[in-house]
Amino acid sequence: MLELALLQGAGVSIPRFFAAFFLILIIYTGALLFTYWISKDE
Amino acid sequence: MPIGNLDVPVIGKNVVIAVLVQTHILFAAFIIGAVLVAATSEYLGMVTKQPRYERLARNLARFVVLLFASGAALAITFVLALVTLFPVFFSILQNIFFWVFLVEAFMFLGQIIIVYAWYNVWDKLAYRKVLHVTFGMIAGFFGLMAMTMIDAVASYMLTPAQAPVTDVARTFLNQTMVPLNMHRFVGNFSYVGFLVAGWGAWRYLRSTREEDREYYDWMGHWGLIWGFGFLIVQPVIGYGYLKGIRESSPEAFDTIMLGDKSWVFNLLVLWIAVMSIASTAYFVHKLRFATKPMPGLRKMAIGALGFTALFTVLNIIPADTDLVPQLGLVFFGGEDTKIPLGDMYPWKYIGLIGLMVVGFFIATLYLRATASGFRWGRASRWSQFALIACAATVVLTMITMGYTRETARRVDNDPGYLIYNCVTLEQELTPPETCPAGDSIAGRD
Repeated sequence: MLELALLQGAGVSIPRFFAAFFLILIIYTGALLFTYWISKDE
Repeated sequence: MPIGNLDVPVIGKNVVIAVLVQTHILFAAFIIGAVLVAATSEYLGMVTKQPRYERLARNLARFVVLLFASGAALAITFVLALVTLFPVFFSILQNIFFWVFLVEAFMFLGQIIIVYAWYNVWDKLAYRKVLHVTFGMIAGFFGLMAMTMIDAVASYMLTPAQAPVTDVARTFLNQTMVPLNMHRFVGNFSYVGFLVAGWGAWRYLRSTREEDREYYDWMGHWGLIWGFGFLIVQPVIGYGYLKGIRESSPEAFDTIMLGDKSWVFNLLVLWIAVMSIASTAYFVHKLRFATKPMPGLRKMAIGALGFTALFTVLNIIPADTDLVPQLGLVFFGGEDTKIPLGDMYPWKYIGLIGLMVVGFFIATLYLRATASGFRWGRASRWSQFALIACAATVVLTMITMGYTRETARRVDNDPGYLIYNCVTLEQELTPPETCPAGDSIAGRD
């Protein structure tokens, strides 16, 4: 089934799906933490 | 030198757009919601003379100002990526929605100017609070208008109107535009509320000063009122939204509700279960600290917690054992094996309506207790963990819902669509007879 999913030309494959998911979380939490870090001493 | 038809190595160009847009939305929704929550809190601080509202409003406003650049940078990067990776599709969108994009750009500009001015004149307008609150509300209004404009585009991509694109009203007000806008309007408040609650909980757990513990305990409570209060109206709006999709783009509806991607809604109800149970458990816990003892109210709240758990479990039960076919999670014959209590009708309707009714009930009980006040700074650690769980889960909910809307157009990927039935994922136009807007989508009447 995994191979089948990876072979889908037009579809987003499973590794790409999870890559997107974790990239979103990393960028989002990274920016939030950075914003907190630059403002916490005010 | 022309750059040609580009692709992105390893992750592919669809993922690039998805990452940029989803992350942008997590910021943009926060900014729109936070400005309005902060302005409302500021107003309540003015009316009630309780300084904690003012403290929250000001801190939230400062966070918005600092965060704005990240959200805006992601938006610009996304537009650049879209122009570069999907130039044909972008030019089609520009043809249809030029004025909408233009208005959105100016709304965005207005929002930036007013948000910065609002934060900057906080002390200067300390004795003209009504004017200052109005600044905040106007900033929120500009944000909402920008959201409304982009919602017209996003909804059109899923449910294009059965009219030429030159029919401005029908194109703008396509079938899912209003429900999508309502869904996001309410969602912004819920999202910000849960995040504020989660942040308050985190700070509460780390605070040692009594004054700070009281403030952060209150902040968790205040955030949860927004988060849970707006969450419980979402099923009705979501139903209207899905009804619009079913009527205009039935194959897309089938994909996300009945087909290979129906697991997205199983995931969604799982997130709703976490947020509903955690919120209700928090309310039950908090009622112990009401300044005026309310044992009867608390007993009813415990009953509500039981019903919340019951209804959320009813929602989670999948219709069949074909859980996530993409991951190979297919058991006992897949979609041929139906699971008892898993049908949409009547079980999911009972679950969703029941959840809303119990939600309104517990919210009313809690607000009743709030009116007489709580003793702050006494909350247990687990109640704060419940708030943090809500904050983490609401982010997952946003990502799940964003993915759901966009993946609905893929149908069976034969072909997937950028504009449903009109423009394929390969940026090719479909024959005019299959596209609801006919030949007009290509700029020909």
